[in-house]
Amino acid sequence: MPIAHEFEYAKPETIEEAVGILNKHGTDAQVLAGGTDVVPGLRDGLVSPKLVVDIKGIAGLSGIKREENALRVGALATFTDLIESELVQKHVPLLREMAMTVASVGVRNRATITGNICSAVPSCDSGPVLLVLGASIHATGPNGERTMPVAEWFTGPKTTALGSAEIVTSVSLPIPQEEHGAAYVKLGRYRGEDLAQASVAVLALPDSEYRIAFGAVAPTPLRANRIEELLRGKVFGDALIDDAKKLVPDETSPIADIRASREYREHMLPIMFERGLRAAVARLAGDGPAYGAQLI
Amino acid sequence: MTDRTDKSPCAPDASSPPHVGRSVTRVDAEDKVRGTARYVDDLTFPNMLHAALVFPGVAHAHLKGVDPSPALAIPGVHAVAVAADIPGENQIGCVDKDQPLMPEDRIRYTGDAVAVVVADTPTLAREAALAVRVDTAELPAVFDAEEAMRPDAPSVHDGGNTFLHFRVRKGDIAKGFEEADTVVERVFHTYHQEHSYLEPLGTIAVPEEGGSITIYGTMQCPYYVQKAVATVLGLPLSRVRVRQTVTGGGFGGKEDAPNEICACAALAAWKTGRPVKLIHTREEDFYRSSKRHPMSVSFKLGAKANGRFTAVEIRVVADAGAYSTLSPVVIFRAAAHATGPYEIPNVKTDAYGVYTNRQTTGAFRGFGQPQTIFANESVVDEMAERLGIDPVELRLKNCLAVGKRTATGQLLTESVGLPETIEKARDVSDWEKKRVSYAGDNGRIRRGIGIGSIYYGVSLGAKGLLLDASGAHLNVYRDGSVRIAVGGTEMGQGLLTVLCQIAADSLGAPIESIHVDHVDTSVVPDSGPSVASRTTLMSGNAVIDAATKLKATMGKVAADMLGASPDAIEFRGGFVRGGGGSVTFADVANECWLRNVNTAAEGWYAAPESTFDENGQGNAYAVYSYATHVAEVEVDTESGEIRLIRVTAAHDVGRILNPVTLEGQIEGGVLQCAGMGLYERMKTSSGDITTPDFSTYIIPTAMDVPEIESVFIEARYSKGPFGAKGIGETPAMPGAVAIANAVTHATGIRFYELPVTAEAVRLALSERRDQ
Repeated sequence: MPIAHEFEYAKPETIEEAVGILNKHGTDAQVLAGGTDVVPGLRDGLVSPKLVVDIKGIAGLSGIKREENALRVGALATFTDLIESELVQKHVPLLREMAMTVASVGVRNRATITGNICSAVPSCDSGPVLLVLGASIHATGPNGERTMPVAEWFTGPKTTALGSAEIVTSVSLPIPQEEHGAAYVKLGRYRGEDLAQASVAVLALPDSEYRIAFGAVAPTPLRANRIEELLRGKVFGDALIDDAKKLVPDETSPIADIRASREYREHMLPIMFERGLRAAVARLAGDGPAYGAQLI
Repeated sequence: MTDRTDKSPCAPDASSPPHVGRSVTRVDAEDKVRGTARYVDDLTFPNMLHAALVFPGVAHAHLKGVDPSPALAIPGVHAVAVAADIPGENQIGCVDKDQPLMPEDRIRYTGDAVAVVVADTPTLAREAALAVRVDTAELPAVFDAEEAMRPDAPSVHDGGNTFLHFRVRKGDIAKGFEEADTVVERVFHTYHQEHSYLEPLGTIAVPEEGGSITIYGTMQCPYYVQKAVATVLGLPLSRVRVRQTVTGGGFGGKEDAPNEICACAALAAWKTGRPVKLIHTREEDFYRSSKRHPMSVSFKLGAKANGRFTAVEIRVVADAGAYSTLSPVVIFRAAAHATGPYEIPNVKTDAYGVYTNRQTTGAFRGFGQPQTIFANESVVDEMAERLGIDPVELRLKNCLAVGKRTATGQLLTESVGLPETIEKARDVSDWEKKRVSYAGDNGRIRRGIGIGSIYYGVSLGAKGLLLDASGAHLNVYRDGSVRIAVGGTEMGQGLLTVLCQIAADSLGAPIESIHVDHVDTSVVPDSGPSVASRTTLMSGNAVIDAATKLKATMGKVAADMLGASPDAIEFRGGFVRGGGGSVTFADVANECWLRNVNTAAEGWYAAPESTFDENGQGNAYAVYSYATHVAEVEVDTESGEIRLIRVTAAHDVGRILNPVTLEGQIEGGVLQCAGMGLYERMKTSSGDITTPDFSTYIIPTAMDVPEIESVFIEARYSKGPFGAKGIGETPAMPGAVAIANAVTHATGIRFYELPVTAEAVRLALSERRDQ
């Protein structure tokens, strides 16, 4: 399908050059990496930039590196890169479990996790997972570099804390120090590529510490603080799970859309939460389904 | 050339034909795998322009004016063609004359286009299309077929909305229901289904010297397009040449829909005098291409305690959309087959076609039957449950067989493999064991196994007899190579390959020497449409007819060469034998050339007579294909999610021509059944489609494919090529209801609309818990 919109195209070679271009053009410019959101947006007339700034020519934005206690995921790292990374598999298998649910192989070969959080649709798969992992987002702008906690990143549907002349250069993920178990559960209508109708990420740490986040059930992905609080330090079991499930409606506010009804999302959220929680706890104990197994 | 054959599951013995029945590799495989196959959008012509259509986007309105001047003011825009530019007749109705190419005074659905904009690029054409000013005054609209049947409903066309009524009357249903010990009566609903072929609609119209025009395009029915373009341009058929390009799927969606797009491009080309390309986007295809008819089906079945069916009463209401298009043939088929494949002495069927202000509905693999099959095969299962008879046994007790009569009173005399499809599907799926063991599941995951059986009248039957003949042109060159033209289209189903096999074996020529072209209407006479599982049968028989004529001519020359009697000449495997000697096929071809003997021949095949009187009685179709699918599912009773685990698909195909392409047909059909059964729900609002893409309208992907076991039954058809009959439609027919029946077996809940989604299952399970 043709793109019924004309625009200029720039492919800077350094981050400084890219920031300079963005600073000059402001909101008329659109950053392009994998293009799996930008190109359909252009095609459907959802975005109509005067200038598209392709950052794929900038050195140093690719790859996944180990830093002291974190993994540094470059802005150009694709979901396929995450799936194939031994570092990810070893240290943050939750990230791989999530990446495997994103769209289809062809899309994953191009789409970047950074693009996923920059698009910031409420159903983005990366959001809940980065929230429970406590990720940080590194950006460069006219005033130099800055780092934001992911908790401050999502400001609304399709909006973020990123400034108009800033570019995300990488995302760092603290490697959970201790043994941990985690799970990502995504609701779709079939096994093929679907947007999350609801999602939940669970991180279970020793000493009954939990981090829980939901996606696609509020204007932004969000941490479930009250559920975390309830679970903290308690003996894990059916009674506790039932109590925690009762809090799910308080933490989430799903809507109805063309893909699923509100009632079905409300019905599924506690079920998904329970399955994710049980899988994470089992994995923490060195047991449970392998990462990547279908939990629903 | 490398060996195009492999080890076939039914390897022929010495008496078998050398190629028919073997898994000859598709002749178009290499081009498609390498990307060298040239689809219409890959083609370009000097000075070619690009077109886009103008959609007012209202469902029902007076069209007060179309002002192209803002579009024409845009640099790079060459022309805007409107209804007034049509030199011929503004009419593309396929059966009834109720559809203008572009409405002149009234818009009847959101897919009606009122102008064609021609520009330097597709992008510019689309931008300019938005600039065309359209003045409309909205009219009350109707979006539901049952509502449209009411006398006070807004009229889509003058003369009321119920424009079709087919009746089938056999025996006396009052008496039949009186004899019944049990009666089951239910109402079923199905909705629009999108064809979802890979390649959207597209065409290039090229004006030629001498006042003629050539149309290139992706299509199933080049002769339809030829007629539509000739009508709109006011040209004789001889000046409209249609060349089918490599076609990326059809499934019925490219039966009549190409008429519109090709006629629009032709009009634009005629007006500008330049080649014009018009390619739909996927979204435009959703809005403008035809769909599977939404139907409501009331189905009442009576049976004796011993399981024998005594009577059936059926009412079918089909939403035809804004124009009749192919509804008269689709709803005829639905009416003729609505009882399901059973001998029932007393039948009353009424099938109605109704206009609404929605997308037009027409041909879709199964052609009106999958909707009524959902009803009849659900009711048969419910009857089995009421009577305490196994669903397989109940079907075997009532099913059609040689010597039985259909609902239209037709006596079946040959090629009825239905009982075998049921038995084989039962045995291969291990039905008896699983039916018992799955019923014992009591955990969160419940398994279920379900069945569906169908029959399908091959080709066009009594309501399409005028179209039901096909031609072939065979040309043997002096080196023995053979070029074949036919009127049937390759749309991905494997026709070219199967015709090579048929030609090689009926001519006795080496298969490597045979080439079959895509359809060119200037070469072969009108051969009807490539639909209704008729193409292999019709084109295959036409090829055999031409080959028979050629062998008679060439045989005389060969007899002379071999010093043998012409009666003793045998053509086989590239050699011509007789009188104890042999020469190659190529030697004979060369000798014919040297002797000025014509080695080209025309073949022709016309379908046998069929009938359907005002009471729906008669031999509706010459022959039927039969199939039974058994589906196995796992249902998560907490989430409602359904996993289709395994499908056993047993098909009576008359004769296997190519096992691998046959399996391909069946596997694709099984997935379309999964789509209809589980996923595909087109949502609309005020005549607008709210799911116009594959992000919102989901179809099964490679991730959703179940294990598929294909089983073949060969109940030979005496008039079919080598005994074959049609296979195109049947794989897409029994599966959806087999899945629904499996979900019922797993959950104990019966569903009366398709698709059966996770949400629907969850809701039904929770309602049951609440009771």
